[in-house]
Amino acid sequence: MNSEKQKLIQELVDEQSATRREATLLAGARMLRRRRWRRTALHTTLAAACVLGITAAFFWNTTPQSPPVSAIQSPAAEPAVKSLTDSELLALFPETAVGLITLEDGRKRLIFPRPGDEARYIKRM
Amino acid sequence: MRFIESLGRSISEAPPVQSSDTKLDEEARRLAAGVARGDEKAFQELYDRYQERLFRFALVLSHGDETVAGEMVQSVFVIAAAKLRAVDGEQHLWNWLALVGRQQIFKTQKRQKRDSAILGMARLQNSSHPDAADKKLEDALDAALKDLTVEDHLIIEWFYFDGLNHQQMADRMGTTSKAVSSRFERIRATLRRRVQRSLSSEL
Repeated sequence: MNSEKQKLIQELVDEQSATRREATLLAGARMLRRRRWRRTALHTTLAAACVLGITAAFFWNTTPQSPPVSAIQSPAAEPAVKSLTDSELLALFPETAVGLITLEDGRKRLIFPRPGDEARYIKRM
Repeated sequence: MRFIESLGRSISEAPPVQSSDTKLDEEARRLAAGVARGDEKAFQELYDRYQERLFRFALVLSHGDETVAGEMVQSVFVIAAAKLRAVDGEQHLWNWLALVGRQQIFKTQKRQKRDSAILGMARLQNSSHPDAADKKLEDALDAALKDLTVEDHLIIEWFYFDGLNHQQMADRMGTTSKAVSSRFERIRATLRRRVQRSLSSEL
């Protein structure tokens, strides 16, 4: 349709054009304001969530972490058995003669040459 | 008559060249994005660009009911202000507006004639193609113009084609401006009645 005909039709049948324009733009502006508000609210919420997330991540990484419970408790629960060297063992009996021999199966045995020493120092189970 | 000749020209006009289409598409995208951002200037531009076309479409859909058509246009733009998002181009935007318009008209008609709602929808689907609406309206206008007397036709042509004012027309006709003015209003009323009758007769 050419523009003259469009103009003619518009003038013939659309007498409320100006009033309608004003009313529509007014109503539309209200909707647009609401839309802008929603966008702003959404952006603000997203930004706040980002900041919160970054802050949480920062504190998570910088706070010194307590060692695992098992790591603390294990020494107390199971004290390490300290082995004595041969010399340390022999030094435990400074007042008497004592010898240490190695048996065939690799076990070691304390020998007390003086009678009564073995009974004195070693308590049999 | 030049009026009728121009009709023939306008119908057989070639479609716009690609660059023009691209420009229209860009404009449509810009307007839709602006409205989606809540830009009131973009909304005003959108209204001024599409309201006349939408009104003509609404007029055909409402079978010449000017009030219903006006309400439809208003509803469509308020909905656009609230919900329009990005579009691909001009055709997409126009289709969106036309679709919302069609829904609004249907709601109005449903309110008015609840009992015949289904029938109304069937009619709408047959007659609601956005591009066909202008043609229908143009046919109605042509038929109305055709029934005018030669002199009445001339007055319309002088005013709308040649841009003459009432005084200039009066000078040509050898009469007073007041006489031309009242005659012009009578012709407009006749045309308006005929166009509306023609559209409503399609019910």
